[in-house]
Amino acid sequence: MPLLDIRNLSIEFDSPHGRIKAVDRVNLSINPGEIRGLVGESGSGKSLVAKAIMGILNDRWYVSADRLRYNGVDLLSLSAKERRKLMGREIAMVFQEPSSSLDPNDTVGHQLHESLPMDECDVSFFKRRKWREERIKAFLHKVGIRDHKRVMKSYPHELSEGICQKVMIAMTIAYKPRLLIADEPTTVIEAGAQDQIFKLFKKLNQLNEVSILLITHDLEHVESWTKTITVMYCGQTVESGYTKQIFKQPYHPYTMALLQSMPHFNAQLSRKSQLTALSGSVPSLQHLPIGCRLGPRCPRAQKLCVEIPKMEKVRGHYFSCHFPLTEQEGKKS
Amino acid sequence: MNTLLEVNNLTKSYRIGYRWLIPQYQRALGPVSFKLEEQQTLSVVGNAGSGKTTLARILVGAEQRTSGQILLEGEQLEVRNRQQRCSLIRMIFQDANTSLNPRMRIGNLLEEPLKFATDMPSKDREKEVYNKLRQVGLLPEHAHFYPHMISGGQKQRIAVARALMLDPHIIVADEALSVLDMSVRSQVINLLLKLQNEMGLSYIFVSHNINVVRHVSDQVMVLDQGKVIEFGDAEQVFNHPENDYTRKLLYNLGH
Ligand SMILES: Nc1ncnc2c1ncn2[C@@H]1O[C@H](COP(=O)(O)OP(=O)(O)O)[C@@H](O)[C@H]1O
Ligand SMILES: Nc1ncnc2c1ncn2[C@@H]1O[C@H](COP(=O)(O)OP(=O)(O)O)[C@@H](O)[C@H]1O
Ligand code: SF4
Ligand SMILES: [Mg+2]
Ligand SMILES: [Mg+2]
Repeated sequence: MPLLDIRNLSIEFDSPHGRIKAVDRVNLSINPGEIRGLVGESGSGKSLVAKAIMGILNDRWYVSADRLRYNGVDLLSLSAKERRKLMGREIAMVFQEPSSSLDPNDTVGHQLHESLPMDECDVSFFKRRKWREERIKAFLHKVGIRDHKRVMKSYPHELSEGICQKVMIAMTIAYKPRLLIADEPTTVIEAGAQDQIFKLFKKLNQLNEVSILLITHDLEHVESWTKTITVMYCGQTVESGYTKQIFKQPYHPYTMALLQSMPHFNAQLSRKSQLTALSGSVPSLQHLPIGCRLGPRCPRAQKLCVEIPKMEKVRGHYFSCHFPLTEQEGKKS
Repeated sequence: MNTLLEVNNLTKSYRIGYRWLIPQYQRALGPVSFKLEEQQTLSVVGNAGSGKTTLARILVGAEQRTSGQILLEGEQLEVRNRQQRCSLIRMIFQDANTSLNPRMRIGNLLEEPLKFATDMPSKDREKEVYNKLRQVGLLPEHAHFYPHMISGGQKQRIAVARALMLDPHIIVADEALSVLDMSVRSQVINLLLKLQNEMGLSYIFVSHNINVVRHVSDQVMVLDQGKVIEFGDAEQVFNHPENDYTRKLLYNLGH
């Protein structure tokens, strides 16, 4: 049984132009112990999906789904209180904007002390402070913070976004959740230090069997860290399957376009030659195309594409497109 | 070939505090020496804190150097005035979202460098703005828009257009591509390659994306703690790295 099982999740809101489907029947599942990548360009609805799982969208949003289950429990039928309790115990999320999830009026050290779980503490009352300090220091080192003394004395605004994000990650892993949702966890972390965070996630996954939903706008980030991937475009799921399979044999034109935007994907590409790039840009929510939302930018689009394509399955690999790439076309050139 | 930029023994030290009232310095960069020819791309790679941003900022004049010599088209930098430097070497900033003033129309944003560095009459300035918008694949109409009215990819094109504004010969980009969405990134890379091909521009790229670096560069410089530990023809460095640090860096960044 999957740990997280989502079928046809839609997220809508009312605008002056009528109700808009920001997320349109998205499917997503995560098995216990799996790391799944959720990939899509900005504005594709990744954060909305994550917030819908956590149940933290405000009442301006209408969330509906044929199935939204965590560990067999239907999340939409739980009361707000029951849901919060379950989340607090089992699911943790690292947000895209770290500064918004730390309290600006409190030192980082104090916030870490407050939030450190004590259930593993086996020392007498008088030694607890020391024990906590050691634990916090260890967690901060794990995420790559060396000068823990300075960081703990600081208020969030005195630290860079990257350091704040590392602190958030340290707080989250201290909880040993069963499911970790990491929403673009490394975008504010300086380039050279991003790998350390991914390595840490991988270790967490292997040692503690934490399942992870790794959200990112860059396919390259997920290639080596995930087992499975779901690709979104403009609020719709376009393709999902094993990472290896998707990199070897994509069926959806959008996935193919993402792969081709990585210069090393095509071995024959000569240096400094033009890359294959989709023309145009992601449409705004006010001007969504009907049917397949890739339509206006898709090199394979035909008349039929004004109808929404159904999800199809080939050997555990899902895609929704009327004119998918053939095995020959999809092969890595 | 025409040498656009020559850097000799460039160093930068930051004051990190005092000890017994004596200021203490830390070498952040250098000594660095290299030459950049016309229509060539030099990429700078290295771990966080290795001095890449410091180098980029010194080259565009956003930071003072501690010692060393910078020759722009054969002339010492000090001799040239600020206006000339601005028009020869320009920077694309990392985040177009924050570097574009939200209260200014795109036309005015692009016009600013012309106002600052030339005495062009306003009619010509307008023409020049339209020109540059077309060059980066946008429309003259975009001049009347505010930054929030266009997409992220278009904003990055505006950032490129602004860097092009004074017809520079060299453009410096410090991690300006890594923040972009994938389809936008390949659009911008294509644009930069096309401009290089047509106008003979030279680029200095700071990037951690090895695959992109490999695609666009002629030369690669590897920095470690401010020091150049490997420098040479891109293919040579990638295929036969001489240094362990380079090998590890390439492995880590490229997987
Ligand atoms: N509070 C909001 N009000 C109106 N539109 C929103 C809001 N939050 C997100 N959106 C819109 O919903 C779409 C999906 O957003 P998001 O889930 O944040 O995308 P992603 O995380 O993939 O970049 C975007 O087009 C965004 O503009
Ligand atoms: N304004 C500054 N004051 C003091 N030290 C600085 C300053 N800017 C950068 N440094 C130091 O210079 C070194 C190189 O930094 P930087 O050029 O930003 O590296 P990179 O861009 O390769 O990550 C680092 O050790 C950094 O701490
Ligand atoms: S359904 Fe049509 S428009 Fe959509 S991806 Fe497939 S071919 Fe392109
Ligand atoms: Mg998001
Ligand atoms: Mg830098």
